[in-house]
Amino acid sequence: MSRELSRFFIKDAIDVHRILDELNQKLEGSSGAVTIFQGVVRGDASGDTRVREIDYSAYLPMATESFAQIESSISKEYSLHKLVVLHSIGKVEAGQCSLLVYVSAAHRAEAFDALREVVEQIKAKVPIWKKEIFSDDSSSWGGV
Amino acid sequence: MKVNILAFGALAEMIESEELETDDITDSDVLHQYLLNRYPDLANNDFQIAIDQKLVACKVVFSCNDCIEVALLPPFSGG
Repeated sequence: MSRELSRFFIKDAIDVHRILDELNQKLEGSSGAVTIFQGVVRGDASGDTRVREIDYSAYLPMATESFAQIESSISKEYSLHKLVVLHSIGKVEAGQCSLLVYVSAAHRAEAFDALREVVEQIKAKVPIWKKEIFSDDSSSWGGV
Repeated sequence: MKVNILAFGALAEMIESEELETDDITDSDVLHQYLLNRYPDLANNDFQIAIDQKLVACKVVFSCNDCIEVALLPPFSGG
């Protein structure tokens, strides 16, 4: 059953291996560089407990539009072959991937620079929130 | 005019609801005061307002639509 909620969102953790296999099979022959960012939930310690999982929520229509705008502006600024962004909604356990950004380009300079810019813009502009859930079942909102 | 208010993240927990509805709100300043009157703890929280999915930074007069959607957005923490 598809866990895709929209073009940019997927329910729960991202299956990185499956997605990267699919993307790399479709790589253009003129692509000389692929850069990938995986945002992984950290199992940070907090006193006597630690982060067990993060519950992600979003203002979905506005977040989808924000992602589309980031995709459009980065594609205009950098000469890329492919840009793919996926973010989790719902629960992602420590050690699992909640954000995947995939960039392919002819050369490494564009691939490196575009990747970093995409990640920074996502963190600044997309209405997504994370709630850290600890091993003792307590919770805390991130970014507060 | 009906105003549908969506709350997200920690704000939704604070006001104990993800969605409210009200009317007789004519602009974003009146809305802000209405929210502070009803939920005084909001004054201690940093948040942005989006109207029909567009962030607003200054006073916006609501046009005479049937309903507008206002979202209360705490600081983003995705990525």
